[in-house]
Amino acid sequence: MKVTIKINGKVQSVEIEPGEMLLETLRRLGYKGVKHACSTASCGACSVQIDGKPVLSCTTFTAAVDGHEVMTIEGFSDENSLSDIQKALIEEGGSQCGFCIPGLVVTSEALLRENPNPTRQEVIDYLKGNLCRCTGYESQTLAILKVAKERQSK
Amino acid sequence: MLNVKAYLKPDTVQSAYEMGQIPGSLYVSGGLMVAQLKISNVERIVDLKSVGLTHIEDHSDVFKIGANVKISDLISNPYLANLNGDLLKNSIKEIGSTQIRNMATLGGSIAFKLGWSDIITIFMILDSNLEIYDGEFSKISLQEYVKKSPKGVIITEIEVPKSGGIAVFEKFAKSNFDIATLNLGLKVVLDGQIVKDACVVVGSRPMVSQRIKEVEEFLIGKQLNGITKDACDLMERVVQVGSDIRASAEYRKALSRFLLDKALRRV
Ligand SMILES: Cc1cc2nc3c(=O)[nH]c(=O)nc-3n(C[C@H](O)[C@H](O)[C@H](O)COP(=O)(O)OP(=O)(O)OC[C@H]3O[C@@H](n4cnc5c(N)ncnc54)[C@H](O)[C@@H]3O)c2cc1C
Repeated sequence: MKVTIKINGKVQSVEIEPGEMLLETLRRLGYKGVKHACSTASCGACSVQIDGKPVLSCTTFTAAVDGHEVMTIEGFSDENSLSDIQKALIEEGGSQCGFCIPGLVVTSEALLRENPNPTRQEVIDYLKGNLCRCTGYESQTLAILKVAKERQSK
Repeated sequence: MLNVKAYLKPDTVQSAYEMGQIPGSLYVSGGLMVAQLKISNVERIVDLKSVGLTHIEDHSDVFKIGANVKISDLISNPYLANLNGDLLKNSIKEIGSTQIRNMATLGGSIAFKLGWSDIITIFMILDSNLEIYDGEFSKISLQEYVKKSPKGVIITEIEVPKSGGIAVFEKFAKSNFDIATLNLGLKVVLDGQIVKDACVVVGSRPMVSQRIKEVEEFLIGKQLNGITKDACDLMERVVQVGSDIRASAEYRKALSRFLLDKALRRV
């Protein structure tokens, strides 16, 4: 079957299997920043935004996204420069192996849009579905709070 | 990947139901659970989201919530969120993660009848009724629905009465992003300090949520102050729990008294 999805601002017509998951579709189209990990909606590495809301692409039927707008990590930065969240994660030591970072950034972008000035607890609550197995959450939380402050002062 | 032959998007409840009656069909709403099913006999997925059902209506005596409303959207209506002492506002954040709440629908969460569902416990405390479609529309209480296994039926709407009282939800899980080892809901209607009406629900027993009538009857007519210990003793005696990979029945019994104690102190 054929679906039309706006991915990172570009409308694409894609041939898919009826039972295909968005994660497979996106990776096949070259959006490799969307990570394939647990496939059980448990880790957050495959997070993307659909119509501005963070969701898990491993358990989203691509057919259900027909006519909607998807944002992957590739849509939040370009090949030559990092986004402010990515920079802050590096500066605060919030990234080691880096596997969870694309999902974390995509979810954090939604958090800061919905709540530009979150408290520490609100950051922790919002990001609890983005698991990280090497850095721990302290430095990631600090990075998001730092970006919130910087964006507020602009 | 589910090896299905077709992904159907009906535009009315009636046509969705007709498609759902064909052997090998499966409804999907949020899709979180359907996406993970390892069954080979599903040939057709019938997407219920295309029929709408995303309304939250505020009527004089009830809230009517469309079955396709996402868990995260349940708190978008402040009146609904603040019902019975902010029950939904305080409890929805206990469910899964941001992403899961943005995907899971209220209808899908009830229809799957997960033993560990927090949603079923929460909506049972609210004394909710369901509108269902099985060729015609009818109503059934949530309590009755979870006891039965109506096949092929579509949940179209959840009705939450605007009854008075304060309700609280307690969940015990091993981490803040884990399913419940046990969950408990309590609603009391007070006349001064006297309990006029009570509703007590325990879920993740690990069986599906159940009202604990004995504890409700015990609470009614009593002064709220000073009855906690006896109510908790009774809860531990009467609650029907089982053992699974998460906890033994003994552990769950002990938890039930602990969660009731906490809930009684909060109301
Ligand atoms: C990792 C993870 C963590 C979770 N944590 C929690 C938690 O902490 N607390 C909690 O309460 N829940 C939790 N859930 C469950 C979640 O909240 C939903 O209950 C679940 O995803 C089902 O909702 P859905 O909309 O995705 O349903 P779907 O997967 O679309 O459907 C589920 C079932 O219901 C049927 N169905 C769907 N809609 C209808 C309808 N309107 N009428 C009739 N049948 C229908 C489908 O055919 C299917 O059998 C968790 C789920 C996951 C994957």
